Amino acid sequence: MKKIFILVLFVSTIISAQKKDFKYALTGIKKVVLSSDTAIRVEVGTTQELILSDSNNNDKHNNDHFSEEKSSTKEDKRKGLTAVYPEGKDDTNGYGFSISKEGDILYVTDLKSHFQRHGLFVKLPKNINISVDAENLGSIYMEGFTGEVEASANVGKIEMKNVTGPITVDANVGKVNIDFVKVSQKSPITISTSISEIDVAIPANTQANLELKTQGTVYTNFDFDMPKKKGLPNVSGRKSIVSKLNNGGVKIYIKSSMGNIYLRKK
Amino acid sequence: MVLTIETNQKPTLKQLTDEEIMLAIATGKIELLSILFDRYHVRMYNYFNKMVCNKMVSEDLTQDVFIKVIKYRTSYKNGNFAAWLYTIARNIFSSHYQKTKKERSNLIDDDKLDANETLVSESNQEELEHLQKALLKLSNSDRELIVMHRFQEIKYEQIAQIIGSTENAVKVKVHRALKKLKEIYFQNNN
Amino acid sequence: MECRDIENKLNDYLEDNLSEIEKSEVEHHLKTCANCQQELAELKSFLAVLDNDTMETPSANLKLNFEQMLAQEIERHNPKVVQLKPKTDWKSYLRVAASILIVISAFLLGKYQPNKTSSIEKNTAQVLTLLEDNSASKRILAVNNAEEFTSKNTKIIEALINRLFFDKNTNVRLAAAEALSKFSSEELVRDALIKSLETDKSTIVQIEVITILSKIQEKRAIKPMEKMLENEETPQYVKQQLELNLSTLL
Repeated sequence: MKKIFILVLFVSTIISAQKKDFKYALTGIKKVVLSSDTAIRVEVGTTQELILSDSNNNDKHNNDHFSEEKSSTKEDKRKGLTAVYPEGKDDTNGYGFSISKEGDILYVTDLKSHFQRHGLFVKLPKNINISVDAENLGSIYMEGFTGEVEASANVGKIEMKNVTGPITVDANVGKVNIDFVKVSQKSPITISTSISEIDVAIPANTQANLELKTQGTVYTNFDFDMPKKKGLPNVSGRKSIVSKLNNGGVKIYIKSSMGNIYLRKK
Repeated sequence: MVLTIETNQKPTLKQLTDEEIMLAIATGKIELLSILFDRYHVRMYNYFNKMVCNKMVSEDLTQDVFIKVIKYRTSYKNGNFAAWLYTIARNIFSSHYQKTKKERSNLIDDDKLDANETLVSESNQEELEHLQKALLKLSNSDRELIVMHRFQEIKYEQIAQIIGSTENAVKVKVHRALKKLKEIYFQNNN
Repeated sequence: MECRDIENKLNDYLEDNLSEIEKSEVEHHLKTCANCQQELAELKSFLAVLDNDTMETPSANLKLNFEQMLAQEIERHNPKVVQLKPKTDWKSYLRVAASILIVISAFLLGKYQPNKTSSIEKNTAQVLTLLEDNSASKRILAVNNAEEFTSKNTKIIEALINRLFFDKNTNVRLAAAEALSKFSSEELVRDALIKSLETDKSTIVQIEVITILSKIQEKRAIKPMEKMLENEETPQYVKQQLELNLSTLL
């Protein structure tokens, strides 16, 4: 109880000190599960905290442009009240997110819809495990994480830079672009889309068991040992390329139902 | 007329969730309620029996729950069905509790006799009786939390939904209630 | 950490709900604190009593009364459609009941396998645990490992079906579908794949399942596939796959 009180006190002092960002200490948290139907940008922060802020200043500018006076009266109106949404109560002092902890997992769920939210900027510790769901219309950009990363989007694109895996990504219509700084051998890497293209860059010395599957075309500058054709012709015209890179290693499975796959050697 | 079209549709696994069935009931397919009855009546009955400690009353109250489900079916809006059902059950319990407030002290004594007679005679019977007595000494809200968490094995998250609180708050409350119950239980034992 | 903080965590500690850090904190404290040790012992025995308490079965009256009430309600609400409806309603009810039976029997089949402690069993247990891991990548690893088992391992197949139906991560469901295609001689697996075609909302999984069903020549898939073709909401590229694969099934 005491601990919670201190935590609340801690969080609220931070909020009052710095009104712009929402911060949450991640003590004992191993994984953060974030969902929001907007353009989500996740970068490495310098503290052991979750930091939420609005996407960028340009958007802000637009909003301010419209109603500088109104916003102050709005704030007056909201004084002493808490926003309530169909999915729950705002735990983030006006940021419109619900935050709940289950064991060592922290769930951060956007309560606002795609139309109310114009981009989201998140900072998290470098080595934490992250799962991001951009729901229906949102997109995802992530950079620099060394923990396990899961990302899921429908219409929006998914882009990652300087990541190591393990990575599990699925997109539907949006493009996927992932740039590995190195490839972790811990557990499998899986990337899938239905019709969009997948563009993946991995270091030349990566050890991996590679499987690429698509009805589109695979482009690469790696040298594959192409498996010999055997057995029955593939009914659905599905192409699957199985190959070992540098004597094999962790499984990398890239699958697009219909889009092209680009695999680049760095 | 729309209804007949719907019944011709082949049910899929999707329609098997409580929520989908309840939505169908809300649109008039009341007969499907028997599926939900089969899924929930034992839990509902045990919830009431722990709360009021009277088998007959518990059966009546359970029946009331499903009558209310039919009555308020159109107000069901796609949320978690179990949570909705427990909300109804809680309301029924609290109005029952208000009604019987005056006779409550007598009632509890009767119930205890009732419970003694009907408990399965096993070696742990005595322990369970103690437990039942201890439970009845808790406040309604504490007892309810323990019944939902320990006996009905509902997740913290869902309890929070049912009683309109947050998951963390529920966790803390359940722990406290358990602690109280434990103290009462061991006092009684000694 | 003070005793009070520890006490609050003992319940979660016994149920193994704590993070590794919290767990080791509690254990560390317990080593040195006699009070908390006693508290833990007390709580343990108390929770054992609580767990002894099982659900009671209500008397048959409850169900009888309910059915009576329901019959009255149905009569009150649907007086006009009575002539047309009963037959189809009854059928659809049966269908629902039958599907419930499939799911329950599948569950029971998995549950009541005898417990042997051979190495296969151990591996099974490992894979089954890993299939429930928080990490999607680990679950995929488990699914890949599960492919190595023989088709007689019902527990593994049940668990894979469970992943196919209920996993939140699209890639895990996709991997589960691919793994299950290796057990397609099992009736249970074929049933599950057809069901998943009807329920899964991810087009990636849909397309994979369509391909598998046509590869294993499952004629019962023709109807649901045709239905998807007729559905306006099905995306064009999924329809393309449907047409392609339907032609090999017909």
